[in-house]
Amino acid sequence: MSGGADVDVAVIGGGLAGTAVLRDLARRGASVVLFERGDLVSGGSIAGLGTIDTRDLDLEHARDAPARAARVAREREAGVLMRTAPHLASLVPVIALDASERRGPRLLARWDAILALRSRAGETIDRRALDARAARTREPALALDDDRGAILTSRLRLDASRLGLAFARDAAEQGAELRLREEVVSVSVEGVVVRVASRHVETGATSDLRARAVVVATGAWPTLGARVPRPRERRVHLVIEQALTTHAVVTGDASVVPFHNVTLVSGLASAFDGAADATRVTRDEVRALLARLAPLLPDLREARVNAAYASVRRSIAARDATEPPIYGVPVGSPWDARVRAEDVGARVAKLLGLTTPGGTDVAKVPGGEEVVDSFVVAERMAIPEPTARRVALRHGARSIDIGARIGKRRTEAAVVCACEPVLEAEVRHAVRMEHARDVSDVGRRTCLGHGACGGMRCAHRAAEIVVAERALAPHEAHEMARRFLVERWRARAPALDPASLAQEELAHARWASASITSAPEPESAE
Amino acid sequence: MSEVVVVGGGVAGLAAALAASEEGARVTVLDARPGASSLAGGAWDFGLAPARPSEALADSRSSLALLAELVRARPTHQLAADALELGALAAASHTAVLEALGIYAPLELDRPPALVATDVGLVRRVATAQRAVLDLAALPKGRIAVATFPSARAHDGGFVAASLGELSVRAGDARRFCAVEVEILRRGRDVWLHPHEAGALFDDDRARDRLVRALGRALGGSSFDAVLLPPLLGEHDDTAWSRVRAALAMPIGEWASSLAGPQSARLIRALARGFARSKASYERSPVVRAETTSVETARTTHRAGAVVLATGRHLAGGLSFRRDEAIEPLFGLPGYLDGKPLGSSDTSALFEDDPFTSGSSGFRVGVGVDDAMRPLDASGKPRSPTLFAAGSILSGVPIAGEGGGLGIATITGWIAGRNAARAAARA
Repeated sequence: MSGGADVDVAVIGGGLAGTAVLRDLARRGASVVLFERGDLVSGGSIAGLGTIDTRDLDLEHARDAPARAARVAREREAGVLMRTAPHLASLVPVIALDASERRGPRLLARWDAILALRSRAGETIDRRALDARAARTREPALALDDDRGAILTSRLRLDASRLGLAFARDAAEQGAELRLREEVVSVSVEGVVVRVASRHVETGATSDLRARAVVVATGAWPTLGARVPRPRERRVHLVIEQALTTHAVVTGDASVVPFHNVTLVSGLASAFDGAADATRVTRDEVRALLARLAPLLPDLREARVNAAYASVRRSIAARDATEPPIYGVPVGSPWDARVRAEDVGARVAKLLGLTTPGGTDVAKVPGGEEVVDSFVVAERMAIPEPTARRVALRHGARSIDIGARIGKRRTEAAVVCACEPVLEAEVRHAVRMEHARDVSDVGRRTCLGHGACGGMRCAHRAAEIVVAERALAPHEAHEMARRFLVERWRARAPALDPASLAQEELAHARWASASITSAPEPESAE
Repeated sequence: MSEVVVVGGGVAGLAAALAASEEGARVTVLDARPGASSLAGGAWDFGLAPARPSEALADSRSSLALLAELVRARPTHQLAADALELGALAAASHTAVLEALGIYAPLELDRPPALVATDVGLVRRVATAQRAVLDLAALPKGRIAVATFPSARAHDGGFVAASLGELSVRAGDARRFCAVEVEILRRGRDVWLHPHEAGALFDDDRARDRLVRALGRALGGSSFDAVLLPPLLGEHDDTAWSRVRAALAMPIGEWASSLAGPQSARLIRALARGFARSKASYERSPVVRAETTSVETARTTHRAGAVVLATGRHLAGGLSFRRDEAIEPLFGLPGYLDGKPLGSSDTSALFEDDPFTSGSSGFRVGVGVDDAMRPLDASGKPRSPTLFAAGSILSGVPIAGEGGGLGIATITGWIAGRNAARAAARA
């Protein structure tokens, strides 16, 4: 290593952007270290669950050349993700509604004309104009007045959380080092190297690393005393307990996306000036979002909300100061994270004199090596097909890892979380291979405990497994289960409806009877 | 003869029926659907906020002292007005109810409470427990085997033993817990049993004998002083546990479950037997209309000298929460919190941050009553001289789960039933 550097690059931030950069650089042959102060893909990236790219859906404003270039780039990237991560990226049909005002058949005629123009210009047209009746026929859950128009198109839907994990895993398989629960406290340029001082958030242990370059991928979070990036926007996300629609429905800044067995509703809450960690929402925010969408989707009035949370993002795609050797990853949405990472990776590689291409546009992510048939997975593991489908959606071709665990110990095929469902083997795998440290981490990786029961049936069992895998003392399992239950409660409380109270009473009864609600044991004195 | 109609067939309803019968009333119990009682595990207490489990292991205060503590801790608690009579009431109501149920050990108020292990390996002090449940307090302090059945996946005896072991070391307690694996099935390694299925195995004579032999082999000559088992000693046969104990010739018992299983199934059956014993006539159908002088089900109209509402809270539908009000649906009684009617406030604002340590106030909302257990209307006056309420429908009474709360249901049911019979006789 030249100039006394320990590694080539230090990446700060383990969200989707950070893991994508890590993977890109690792594939270019750089020695890389990732610092993440919390868990992988847990900050602003949580907003990426089931994300679809909604920019450019307003046909009126997408006629100029940059918009056209963005469309082409988006389509290309959708193809890349569907090839390299087929289990995590899929196309969802979208009905985009004109949000602003009612306009009659003239609007449709105008859209038709625009589409015809584009078609003649040789552009692939992936959309068509629908009148209200046609839209209602396609999506019976929609209540659309006759004088409204809609566009039918399709968009890429990503499991951004699993995608970030897959990026991190690929990077690790290429030799990258992951330093989780390690917070960077200072970055200073010293001659030709950058000194990165960090501190472990649990043990307090400090360490120094000299890197030839640093990539900052902290999203909406301020880094190292730098100015808090502004402006930011705050989005409210609701998880509805069932799939209400077959199409994603987009109107203005709000979207309703069917995602596996749930529906994800999200909308812009406000320009935001508070802390980037402010992921809790208020009852009013939940009600406002539902009230905004309920006239279009009346089923939302009766739907049960399993979770409500907010995400904070920088709202403009301004580049951070990227003076070598410190680079920033520009802000964007999950669907173009890989492209942004590729761009930064190329610039860092140039500095380092690396010539191997990253190749992340063709290299399959772990799990994306081939498309798996859930029936085959079900048969090999001797588990029910609906369960196998969930395993395959999360792990893709790497479902084989889960199968291998079950092959060794049949009892690991037991279902821990019945709402999702999640197998015991998957929980153990999340701890061993995916850096999960507690039940919340397992929940983000598998959706464990995010169903209608609020973790009543699985939280403690999952905690027992995590504790066994990490060789911790039993009381840690009680604490872990309790922390997770409180966290889930906080996500449900702003959206609690009268019908949910019976379930809540049941859950409270359970935990009180088990003694989980009693005061925690003090830390032992060793 | 005076006629008392009890709406609700849980533990509070049973206590009310027994007390009213004892006062000479003719009692009709109307039961619609299972509520919180039918989900109770093997333990029974007064709904105390539990101490740290390691403190519970070392605590020697009596049940009565704990009950008094609860009343002091919650001055708005419905029992607070009766604090002086509390001991006598607890003794009278529990003697009658526990005897009618027949599956719980008697309540001894002046003794330290029973200590039961829970299904996650913690320890609770409880007023009493089902006879099948092992009372750790009654054991000599020695080595306790914790049986784990790999086929019964809902119960992880290995973890329970490890956690109890850690607790007893923390508490400086001499009990030692050791997991012992017992194979109860030979049908194939892929078969997992639900708690009910595993419990049913102990009902069958031949299967039970086989299990006892397997248990004996697993314990094999080692010197254990007692055996702790998952809660599956009999799904239908309440004597299974005593037969296993006789066969093994040492103290055995279950840990208390926090999910529905054989222990709650036993309680439901015992409730049915208890109502038969109370000589109350029992009808299983929902109430369609209720007034203080008559209660109408889909089948019959029952004339009532007095009515006891023991309809539970959210689980059984005794309380209905809407966006801006909480209301008792049969009589339209307003929800109360901390001694005051809720009014038309935003009910969702009642659910605070941490439901565990502080207890969200939304879960304490219920019907307000006066000293005689008569529900109050919005002006704070009793709705009727012949309408009474008991159990978890009451405001301030801990939610079904806050430690079980069956003891509170029993006492309030007893007061309400007794007063209802007297009011009906006067009317």
